Amino acid sequence: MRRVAALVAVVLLVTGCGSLPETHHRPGTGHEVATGAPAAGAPHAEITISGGKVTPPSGWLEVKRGQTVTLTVTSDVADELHVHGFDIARELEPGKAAGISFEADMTGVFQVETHESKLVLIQLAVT
Amino acid sequence: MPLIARRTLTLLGVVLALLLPAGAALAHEEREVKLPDGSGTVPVYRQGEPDLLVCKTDKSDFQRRIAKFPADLKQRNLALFARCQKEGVRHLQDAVDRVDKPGMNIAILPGLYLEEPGQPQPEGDCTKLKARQSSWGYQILSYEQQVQCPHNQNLVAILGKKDLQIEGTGAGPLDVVIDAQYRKLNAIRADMTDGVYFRNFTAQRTTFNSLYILATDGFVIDNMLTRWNDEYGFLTFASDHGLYTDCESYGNGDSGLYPGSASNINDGRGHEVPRYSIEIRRCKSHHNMVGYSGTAGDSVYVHDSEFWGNLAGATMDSAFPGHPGLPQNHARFENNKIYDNNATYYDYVKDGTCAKPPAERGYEKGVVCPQIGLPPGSGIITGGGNWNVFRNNWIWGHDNAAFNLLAVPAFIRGEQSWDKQFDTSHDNLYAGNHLGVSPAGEKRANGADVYWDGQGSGNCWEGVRVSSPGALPSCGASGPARVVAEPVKLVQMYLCNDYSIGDRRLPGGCWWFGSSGLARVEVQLALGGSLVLALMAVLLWRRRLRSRWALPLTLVGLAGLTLDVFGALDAYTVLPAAALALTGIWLLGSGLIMRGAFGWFGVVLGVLHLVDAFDKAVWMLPLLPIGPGWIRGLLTGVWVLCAVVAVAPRRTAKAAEVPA
Repeated sequence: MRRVAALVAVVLLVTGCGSLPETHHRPGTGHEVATGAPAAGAPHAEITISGGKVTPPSGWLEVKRGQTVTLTVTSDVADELHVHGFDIARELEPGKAAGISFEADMTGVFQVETHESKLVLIQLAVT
Repeated sequence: MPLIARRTLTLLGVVLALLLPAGAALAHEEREVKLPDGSGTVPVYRQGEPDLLVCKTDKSDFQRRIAKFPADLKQRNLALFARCQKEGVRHLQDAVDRVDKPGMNIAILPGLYLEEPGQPQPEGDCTKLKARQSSWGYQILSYEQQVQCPHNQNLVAILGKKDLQIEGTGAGPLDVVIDAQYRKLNAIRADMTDGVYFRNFTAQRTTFNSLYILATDGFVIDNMLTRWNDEYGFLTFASDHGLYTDCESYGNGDSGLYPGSASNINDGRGHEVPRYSIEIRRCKSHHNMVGYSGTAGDSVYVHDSEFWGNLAGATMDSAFPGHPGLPQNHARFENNKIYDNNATYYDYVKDGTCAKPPAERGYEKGVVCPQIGLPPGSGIITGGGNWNVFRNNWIWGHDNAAFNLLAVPAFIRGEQSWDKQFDTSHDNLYAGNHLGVSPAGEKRANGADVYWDGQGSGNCWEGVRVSSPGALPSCGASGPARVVAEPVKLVQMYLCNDYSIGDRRLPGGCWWFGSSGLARVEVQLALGGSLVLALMAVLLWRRRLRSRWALPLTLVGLAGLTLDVFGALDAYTVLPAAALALTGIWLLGSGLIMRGAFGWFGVVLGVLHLVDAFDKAVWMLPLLPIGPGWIRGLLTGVWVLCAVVAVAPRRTAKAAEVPA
């Protein structure tokens, strides 16, 4: 049995070469903190609703005041899209992409929702 | 334990220890902290008028935010806003700092709170704290240092306050947002805050955790949302009497819910326990690396919750040092919906997205940077846990397996005692689960029901159809008690664990990160072994086997070896066992034909193959300290060496007489 154990040891050593279990022992990505507010990117988002779920999950879009926001939303069921604060509404037809474009002329955080399914699709953070 | 087995274990332990890299670090590194004494209680929500109010000053912005509220809620918020303009504060931290006695209520009115006073980087003495630098790039501060410099790591610091309630007054959690903008490790840190109650607001965008509750006896997380963190949405640690209820979390590089080092109150008990230290109910955790994780997630009761869209649904483990309460034990998962956890977030590591600074990765658009390597497409993964109960859960639509059970030796968690090296993966109970079907009756099978590495005792399953190994111990019957995992599974585990997001290292050969077909290590091992054995089979047939059964036996052997490669491609079929059986018949038969020492060696090896096939497909044999696969594999190596000698061309007398 000792010999068997020794052989087990050898095999483990061989199989372990180049595959040390570092996953649990090394830090992951850097956690360097930001020193300023996240930069506003292109004020555009593409959102899909399927089976009552939003993809990507309800997001956050940084927008500079005065920029034109464009949203493209595709739903698998009929619904109504509503941009709070700006009070913009758009009918959603099943499977058809609906586009909304408007100038963000107010600051604040505004939710984009569907009225029937009560889903929050994204929040617009206008600064 | 028999002496022989102990010696075997000792050697195995030595070898495994050699594989441990020096300088082990943690997944979540914190000051040394003890579990609470358990004298607290779960706090109860207080409905009275708030003692302190937090709001912004822009009335038109406020009115827009509450415009769609129900009438009574709108009126209440208008009244609170008027009061807040007179006596309230503009930042949550200011309100926390005014708390001067236990039992106070803070109300946060609808708005976006960037907590500007807490944003700046440390200055003055706070840059010179004498504290160890963790391998994660930040200091491990003592409680006193947190008090001295509350914003070194935290946007909002709640330190030592008792029975504090903080509530958003909006219609839902999205109406009040505490946004760290990736400027701090934690959006809110509640440290030694017995009785703290958080309700109805959102915390987001940190380089570690949105809501961090530490060393607290008595807390509630009620109708809260956390999202977009490098690590965790909700992190509770070294705490007792906790309740997560109706919460949601998504977009986290580790897990949405992390009740790590929950008080270890049931250590030494069986499956029946008097209470749980933390209860999680009606929560939703999705689009994270994992929905739930808990290193030393002891005595956590998770029920009526949903985990979907993650890389894996839930994990609990004993794989990290420094967590009080290891090894993990006594989690109870009941009546949860766990589905479609098949995310492909390792792609963001491959394409360099996760190498950017946290603020630039695009978490808000669905990017997740998985911090550790996991088998994607898994429902619940238990990596070194004992006495866990998984009952009446609905688990469906996973590409891999509904349940994974893997052992973790104690040295991985930093404990070197020999007696502890094999103390995980025992007494886990899986019963009454609905696998491959949703509560609505939608049938979407999991790739398999169970993947078990084979290590541990007292584990049992009910209602399983597709698994690896094919035969699992059922509940109520005695099962195997093995001290080491199956060899190929162990090799695969060690290879796959070489993942490093920091180094963008995704081990080639591991299917977790996209390797398929011949690129997978287990297929390569099977192919290599089969080629060697096939060569021996043909040479033996040509040179040593003198029987009318020689050709049929050799063909059976070749068929078995071929099946072995296909079996490695899909371990959840009967192919691996069939391959072993056919190979065993060839070895047994050819050994009987050849006789002699080598022939009898082949007979023994053939029987071992048949026993291994039986063990894998029909019934896992009890009493064996290691699986038949270990003995079979090792003896096969020796047999190949003998076979090389046996089939080597022999110098004939005639050849010897030829003059030089």
